[in-house]
Order: sequence, then structure tokens, then C-alpha cells
Amino acid sequence: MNLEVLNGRWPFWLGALALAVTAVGYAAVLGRLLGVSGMYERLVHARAELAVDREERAFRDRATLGEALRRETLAEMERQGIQVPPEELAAPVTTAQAGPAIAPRVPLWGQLVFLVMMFAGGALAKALAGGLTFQSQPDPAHLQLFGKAAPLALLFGGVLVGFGTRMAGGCTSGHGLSGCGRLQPGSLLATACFFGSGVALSMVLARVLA
Amino acid sequence: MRGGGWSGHASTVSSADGPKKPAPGQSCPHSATCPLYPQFTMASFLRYWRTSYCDADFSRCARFRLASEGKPVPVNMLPSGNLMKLTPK
Repeated sequence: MNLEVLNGRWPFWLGALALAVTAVGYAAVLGRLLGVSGMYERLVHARAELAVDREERAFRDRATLGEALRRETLAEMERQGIQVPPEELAAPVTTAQAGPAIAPRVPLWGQLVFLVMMFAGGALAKALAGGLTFQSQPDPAHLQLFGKAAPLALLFGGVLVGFGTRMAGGCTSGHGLSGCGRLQPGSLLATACFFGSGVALSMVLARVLA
Repeated sequence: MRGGGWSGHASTVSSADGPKKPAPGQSCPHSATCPLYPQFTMASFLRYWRTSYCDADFSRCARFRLASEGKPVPVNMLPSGNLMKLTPK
């Protein structure tokens, strides 16, 4: 099977459409904003994240949450020496007092599936175009720049990307798609920095490699 | 915003010494996404948390500090840092 439109570089509008459907669909279905670096971050903290997921399931019942909140708040106020009116102490927890239910987080396994599918989607697109190959050696351009240290340079580059995206509070998906789509000033600035520095570095490298 | 993974756009930035102290009158930038924040209006005494943390010095909120460090925030963690228990001690 060979789809002509997938050969070579995709037309920009098709890529944009696919990204838009993914970002909007993710927000519409899960009620959360798409952010890929954040998903990796959750995987790094997988143990703590799973513990949080367990706690969340236990507190999803509004009445349970309301009762625990009431009990702990009164205890905290007592510790702080704040007087609580007796009628509030005696008041039963009602559904109205329990407050809105806590919106569930995207489960960790769901985000793991998303990350796996991201790679699978890329591989599928390439396979449909008939050019899927696996390469264990760095790109010739990398070898020209870094010689035998090219794999280490790639690893270091990956670490820098991870560090930078966490420092910026998002990556090209979180800021570029979700943030810019909502016209968030911080995201517009972050995306301008991502792409601006990318273009500038590409131009420098093009001269060096030439 | 947390949850989707993306930490959003907190106007208060972290530093090596922890989050900066908020300006007077500044509310917590995480209030829109904090699952406990809406709960704090449902009974009069629960407003204690808002007046002591969310709408006051939120930089000392344990939830805010964890989120600012990019760490998962337990849903049962109160702004004081205490963890709510399902059953009385």
C-alpha cells in the first residue's frame, strides 16, 4: 500500500489538521490540555503518580470527600486556635456541602498508551508511504559534527530538551498547541523561543555543514 | 495546569528558595485547576483555607509548592500539608 500524499514531506495543512484534531480531541474527550512533556514527567514519577491515582479514586465520592474535609478542617482550625461556631460543628455533611465532584485525572496507563501510539502513528505513516527503515547509526550530519561522540551528543541533546521543557512548563505540544490555541501570552512567548532558536540554530548548522 | 501533564502558566515563579511570595491581593494561579479549591466554598468554615492560603499567601500552600516543583499533588493533601484520611483517626 502506498499513499501518494504521505510520500516525502506531508503537506503543511494535513499535518496541521492532524495536530489540531489530536489537541482538540484530547481536550474534548478528557477535559485536560494536551502536553507531551508532562506525560513523560508523569512516567518519571510513575510510583508517586500511581499512589495519587489510588487516593483520588478513594476520594471521588463527594460525601466521603466532604466528610473528610469537614473533619480535617475543624481539626486544623482547632490547632490554630480558631473558634468554630457550635452549629457548624454539629451540622451534618450534606450533598450540597460536599461540593462538586473531583474531575478525574487522566490515568497514567492512558498517557502511556498515548506516548506509545505517538511513535506507532509516526511509524505507520512512514510504513504507508513505503519508506519505513530502522537505523542504529546516527545521521551523517551528526557524525560530521560530533564524530564518534555523536550518540552521546544526541543523548545530551535529549537531556537538554527535557530540562528546558520542564523549566518552561511545557513543550511544543503543551505551549505550541494547547497554549497558543488559547492565546496564552506565556505560551506564545515560549513557542516563539522554541521555534526562533530552532530556526537560528538550523541556519548556523547549515553554514557549518556546508 | 497539572493533570494533563502541562503545568500551565503560573504567574508566580519558582526559585531555588521555593516559590516567590505573592503580591498582596493576588490569588493562587492554580485555583482554576486545583480540585480542592471549589470545595472550599461549600460550607462557611471551609472558607478558612481560601482566606488563609488561596486568596492570601498561597506560596506557603503545600499543594502549590508541590505543583510548582512539578511533582504530583495528592488529591487529599490540604494546603497545610496534612493528608486527609478516609476514616477518623
